[in-house]
Amino acid sequence: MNRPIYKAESAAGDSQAAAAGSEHTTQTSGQRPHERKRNSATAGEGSTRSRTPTSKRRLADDRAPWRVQMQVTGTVLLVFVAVAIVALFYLNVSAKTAALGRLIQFYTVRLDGPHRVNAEDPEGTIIPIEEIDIRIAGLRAELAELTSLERMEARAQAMGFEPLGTESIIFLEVPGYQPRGAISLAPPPAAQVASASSILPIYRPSLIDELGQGWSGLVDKIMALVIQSEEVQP
Amino acid sequence: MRRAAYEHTRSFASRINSFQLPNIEREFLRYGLVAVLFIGVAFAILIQIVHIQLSDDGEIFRQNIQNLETVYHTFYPGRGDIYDKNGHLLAGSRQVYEVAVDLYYVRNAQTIAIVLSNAMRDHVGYDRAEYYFEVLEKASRQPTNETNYLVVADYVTDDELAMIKEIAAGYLYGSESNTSETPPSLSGLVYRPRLQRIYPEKDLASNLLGFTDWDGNGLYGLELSYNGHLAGQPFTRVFSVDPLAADEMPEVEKGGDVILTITREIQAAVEDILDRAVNNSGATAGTIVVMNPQNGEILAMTSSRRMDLNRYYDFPEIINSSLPYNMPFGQTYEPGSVFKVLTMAAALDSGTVTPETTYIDTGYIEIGGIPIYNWNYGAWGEQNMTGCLQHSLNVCMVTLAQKMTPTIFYNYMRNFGIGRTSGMDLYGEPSGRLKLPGDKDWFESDLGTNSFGQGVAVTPIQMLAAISALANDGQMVQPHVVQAYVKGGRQYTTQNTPLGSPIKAETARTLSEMLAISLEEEASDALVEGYRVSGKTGTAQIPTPTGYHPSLTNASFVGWGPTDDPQIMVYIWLQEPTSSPWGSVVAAPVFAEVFQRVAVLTNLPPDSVRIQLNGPTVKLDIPGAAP
Repeated sequence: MNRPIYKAESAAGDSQAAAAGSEHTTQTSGQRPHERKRNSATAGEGSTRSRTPTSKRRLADDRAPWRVQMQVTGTVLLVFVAVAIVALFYLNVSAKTAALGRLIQFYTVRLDGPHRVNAEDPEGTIIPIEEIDIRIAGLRAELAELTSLERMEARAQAMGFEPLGTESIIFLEVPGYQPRGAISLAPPPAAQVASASSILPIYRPSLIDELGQGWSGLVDKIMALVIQSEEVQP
Repeated sequence: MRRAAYEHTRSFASRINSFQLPNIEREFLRYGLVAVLFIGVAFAILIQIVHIQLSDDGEIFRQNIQNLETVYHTFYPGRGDIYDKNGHLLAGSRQVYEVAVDLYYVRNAQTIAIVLSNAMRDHVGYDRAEYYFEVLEKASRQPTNETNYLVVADYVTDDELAMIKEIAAGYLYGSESNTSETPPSLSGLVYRPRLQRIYPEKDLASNLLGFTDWDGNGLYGLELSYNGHLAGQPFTRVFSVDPLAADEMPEVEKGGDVILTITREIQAAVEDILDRAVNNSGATAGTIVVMNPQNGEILAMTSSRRMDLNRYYDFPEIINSSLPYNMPFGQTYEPGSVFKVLTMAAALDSGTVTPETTYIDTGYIEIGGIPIYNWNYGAWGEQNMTGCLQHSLNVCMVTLAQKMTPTIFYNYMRNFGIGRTSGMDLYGEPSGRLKLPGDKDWFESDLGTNSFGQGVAVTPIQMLAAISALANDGQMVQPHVVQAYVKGGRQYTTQNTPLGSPIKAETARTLSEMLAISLEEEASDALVEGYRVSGKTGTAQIPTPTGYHPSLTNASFVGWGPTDDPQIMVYIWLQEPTSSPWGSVVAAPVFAEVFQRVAVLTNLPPDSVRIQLNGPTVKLDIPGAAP
């Protein structure tokens, strides 16, 4: 029997009360005695039937303090989640940057000192540029040893070749022939180009660039899917 | 019913209010206390932070942190390479290893000493027993702030390092079973790669290339002359260990490369010919230089004795330390009769004589109170200037010098660069010696002896530079061995440097033709089949503190060809040959062999083919010339 009354009162009352659980009412008759007493004391006799929304909210908050707690908790959680999302994204980017930075460092020099003889993997998987240069120089020298004149002559003689005499040479005139000049190991001197970073802009993306790339990639995928679906349709 | 409901609600609300409000206050009080506690702790931390920052320890902390944040790394750029003209590597670098102990991590010094002394037992300069104790002593040291990294083996090869690693692997997987107090361990044994100079062609052009010491400093030859260019400059760079602060790789520019004018095939052929010539003639040493007289490029440059540059530590046993390392460049000597071409050039150019000028050779002339004889003490009768050269008559040369007067003669000699350095692109060239009128030690007799190559001191290179004027239309060229050099990713080609025009082009061509005729008339062993060449022999007595040696000579030959378009110039010097003292016997055939081989290797066609391809050349009308 009470339920229809509350419903009716709730329907007639403000929506805030209804949202609070339908157990509050703005009707004087529905008020609890101590509330009425307090209302009388604050608003006077003539204001018992016309309360402001602020007072109503306060009243509701007083009656259900967990509402405030929920609101505060929700707000804090919302802020926390927002911050967490931003932090997550920042952490992701900074972790990638750190990992690549470390990789660059290892590719540059051995920051952790010389190789250990008793290490399980003494060579490691990353060889810094400095050591690669040494290896290249060593390989170049090794190639030169393998193709030294002494070895090449020995091989040629083993294959039946012998030094050529003047009488064995047949000279032919080749129009436009340019005799072999000195070896060129590097380009000739040229105008100096202003010093610029050797790292291309593509390897220096900003956060906005990354977002833009992500967005572009997403759009491309969607467009590809759309095109694919259109092609599938008869 | 409604009343009952109301009462029930009122009772419920009353119960709620009576309990809830005090609970909230208590909770608020608890939260407040916790908040105050946290704020207090935070404030205390803040105070401590400020305190640390302001205290003396703060500076120490900051310093320690800074030390941990950064790593100092020294780069040792590789030494530049030396290539021949065709790009074959003559001096490069190979990968070796520096093995060291990190004293902070050494657990068992004895293990390290045993392993290294076994692995390095065949290493050059390592005595196994001594080396064991040396390593043991080093590895047993206590680490200090100054030294915790000690090198115990250097220039370790790949094979040696592989052996060390193999033994280390055994310790790595077998050490757990060892229960002794100090188990075997190679902990603390570290290594890092580095570069060592290597010469893939071994002794090829060793007198020219020179070598470096253990530390990579050039000691002789090109390695010394271009040490500043070849050596990379080590530099230290501070790296942050913070990966977010990773910076770009610094540009580690290795030392510059050098490209030579020599080619290894020509060099090897010339060295082979020289070795046989020295052996056949019984000479104590020999020198051959091959140059392009049109631009001064040295095509080959060698002397005996040579050595495998990879075993440069044998240097004291192989090379006579009292002599220059690069004989053609650094050794002066009295050239003898090859010098006569300069005297004749001066006489012709100054108009003192013409090729047709004749004189009566009596076999004797006196100058400054000193009698001068021909090489065979004979009188050759009437001779023209070609005959004068052909028979290498000393009396003729003295006569020409007297006719020219000392002023003109020595002016020409100075213009030919005698007594001065040639400016060749190597370090430490001696200037030679040419006494001049007015010098305290110059006498009138010197004019006579200088005219046929005695009493002057020159290097083979200086003679080549002077005589290049005869083969290059009167223009002297500066001999050089560096074709180009590479620095900073760019290749810079050296420019040919003319050294002046001591004689007219006509004089040069005339004299060149006269010398060709003299060889042909004499049927010299220097003649080359298929090529017309010009040249002059030289046989010089060797001066001693008590005068000239009665029997020992320096046998020389200088020649060039083809006579009408010289592209190859050869200088040969055999010291103290025993099979024959005469240059015409021991040096002239060497020239022919060298010229023919170099002609093949430089694709120089025989004259008949060349003239057919390029058209006939103008031949000068010289008396005595073959039809």
